[in-house]
Amino acid sequence: MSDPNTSIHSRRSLLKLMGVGAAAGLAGCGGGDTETENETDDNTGGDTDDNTEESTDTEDDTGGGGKKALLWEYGFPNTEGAKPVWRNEFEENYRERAGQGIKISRYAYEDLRQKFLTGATTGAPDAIEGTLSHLSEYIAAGHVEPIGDYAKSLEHFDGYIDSTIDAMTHKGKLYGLPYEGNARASFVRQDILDELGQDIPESAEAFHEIGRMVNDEYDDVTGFHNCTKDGSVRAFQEWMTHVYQHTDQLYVPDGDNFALNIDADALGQVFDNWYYQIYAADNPVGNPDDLGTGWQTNDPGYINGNYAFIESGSWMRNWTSGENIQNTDSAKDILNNKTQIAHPPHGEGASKGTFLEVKPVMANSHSSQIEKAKMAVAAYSSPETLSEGMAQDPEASGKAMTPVHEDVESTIESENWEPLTDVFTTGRALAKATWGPVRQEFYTHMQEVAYGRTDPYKAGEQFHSALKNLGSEI
Amino acid sequence: MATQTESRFSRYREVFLSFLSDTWIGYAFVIPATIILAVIIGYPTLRGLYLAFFEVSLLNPEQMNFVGLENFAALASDPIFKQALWHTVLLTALAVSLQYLLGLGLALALKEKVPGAGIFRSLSMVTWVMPVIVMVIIFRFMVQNGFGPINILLDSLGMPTTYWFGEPGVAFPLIIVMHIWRNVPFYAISLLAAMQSIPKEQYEAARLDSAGPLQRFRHITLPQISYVSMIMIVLHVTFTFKNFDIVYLSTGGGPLGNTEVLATYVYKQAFEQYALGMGASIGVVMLILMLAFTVIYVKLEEVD
Repeated sequence: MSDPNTSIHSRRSLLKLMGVGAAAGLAGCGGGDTETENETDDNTGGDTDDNTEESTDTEDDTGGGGKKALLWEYGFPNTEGAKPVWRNEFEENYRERAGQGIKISRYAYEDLRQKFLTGATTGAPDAIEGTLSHLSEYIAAGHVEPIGDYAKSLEHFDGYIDSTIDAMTHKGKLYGLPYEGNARASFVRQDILDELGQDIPESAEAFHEIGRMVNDEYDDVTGFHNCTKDGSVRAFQEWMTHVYQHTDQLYVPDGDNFALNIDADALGQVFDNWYYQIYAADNPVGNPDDLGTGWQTNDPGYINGNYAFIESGSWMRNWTSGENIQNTDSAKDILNNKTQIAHPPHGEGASKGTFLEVKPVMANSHSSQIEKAKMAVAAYSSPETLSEGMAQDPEASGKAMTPVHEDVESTIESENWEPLTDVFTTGRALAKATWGPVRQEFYTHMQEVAYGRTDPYKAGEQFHSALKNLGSEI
Repeated sequence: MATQTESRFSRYREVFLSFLSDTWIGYAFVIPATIILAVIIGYPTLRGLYLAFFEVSLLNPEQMNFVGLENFAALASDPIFKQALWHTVLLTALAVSLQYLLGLGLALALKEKVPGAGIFRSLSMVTWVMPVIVMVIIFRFMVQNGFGPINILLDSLGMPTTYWFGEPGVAFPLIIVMHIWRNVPFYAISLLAAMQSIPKEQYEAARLDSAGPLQRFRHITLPQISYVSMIMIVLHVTFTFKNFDIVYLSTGGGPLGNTEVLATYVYKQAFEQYALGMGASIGVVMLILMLAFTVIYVKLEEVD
């Protein structure tokens, strides 16, 4: 039998040792090499959000100085088993500039935006990809570095389409470089129009008439679908498409504030043509049973043959497989042979115009490696990466149908899709306002109209009044 | 038996106190946990409380204007906040009550060794561990207009079909159904574990005293699962009250604000309106309500 004192003594020693070990561990005395710490830093950007995806470059440094730069993005395709042609090209381009690799973390846009708005001051990530509305918010928050001088020093700078560079510019300063541009276009089932003996409608009135005709003649196809889910960014972009048919900019700079640049009647007309007539009218163009749905119903719905018209973008081109697609052969047939791209129809007194999505790559102004951040921006948006990477990537080549740089050749092959180029020229980019409060107002009024709770023109007046008041807040 | 247990506990207590009497090792144990709690729980909570009294934008968090109780006054007159509060309370009350009752029923059924109980126990946690986004995608698919299985079934019965998450009167009950689907098996397994720890002799003695099944349940089972029940209810009231992802991913708070809850409203205030102070003040209201509920419920449980 052992001596109880010895037993207590040994237990106490063990606990002391554990306590000291725990304290030392927490104090960061556990050692570990630089690469391990870098990887840990990388992972601080990630969490287990359900709609977050993350991948990390784990290769060792093979040259260059200091730690690797970190990029957050959601642009590269991420299909399991598919060769990441575009991403590989970007990494190679960056390595040539910086002399070392780069770490890449992938997040869904909403996660990426939240994390950057709340954590950019930590200096991570060094560079970030996003959307134009993100750019406006990041500029307002002081999180993006002006890169005008650096950009002008790039050989390829002069080749960017002017409107895409304008979209990255605020008060004379350039805050990012574009890598992708697409304009919202009307996707039309030409075969159905041919069967009905109809031309592609240019006016909203003609569009409603054909849409209703489709509903009458076809049991399994609905005239039109658009997004009406609360909080859907896509719904906001679709609405902006029709706003831009009435005005070049919804808001224009007015001193330090913004002034509303549209009248109430135009807002009412947009509500009437694109929400009331679609879902709430007596003989709706769309299917009221689709109310409250988002892009998950819109895009695959068209590809699966459920809708005669939708408004969408170039990303649709290669979307012929995946969990939302019911039949790959049928999807290919619809996209390759039965789809005609056109300008979205417009209401009375409006003209051609559409929502222009230009995607920027930006440098974090709080980055401790700002030069590497700028190199990441340059590599991501360089014409070599776009033409040899994006355009050659089987998953992403649709994004290069309307390239943002003159050295990148359009990937449009079918003449049915050629009008995308013309639609692109009528696109208007979002003003550099912070759009969150506008979006919130929009969802409320849009749903009121779509669900038939409010007259579209009355909603237009109420919305106009609300938007006017937001001019000083955004 | 009781004396033996007390003696063992007093021995452990003496050993523990002797450890603590060595001040430095006591601190070595306490400090790491204190630091972790302070950093992970204490700081964000205090920061949230602090922000609730300021007007502060997400886009410019350094510029803070002290506004006292103005954020709370604004909430008191905000119809969306009141609607979200009502939805949150209703969702929590209905979801937790139904989860508990169904979980209890299931646990009683499993205790009676019904066929397939073993398989159920193995599979029951699937709904609980499944990521919320997967659950939402499944439900969205099931109620999809046209090809969702629920709509196919309804259609075959000659009943109306639609995208049910977009239907104002149905979206909120659907959210409750999602909570129930997710949590009932977990309740059942937890309550079953508590029931299986009740000595069989007590039931045998009750039978000898001619106690019926209801009496045995009322006087033997229920009192002895009350502690587990309390923990389950307190935890799930908290989880449901602050739940964000189920609502946000399935309806975004719509249609027409019919599923707006406090958690989604906090998100919209902070990340869409950029009003961090207002978002924090809603968080404080949620904190106070949850603390009040927990304290009252635990006290009532002690009285019982």
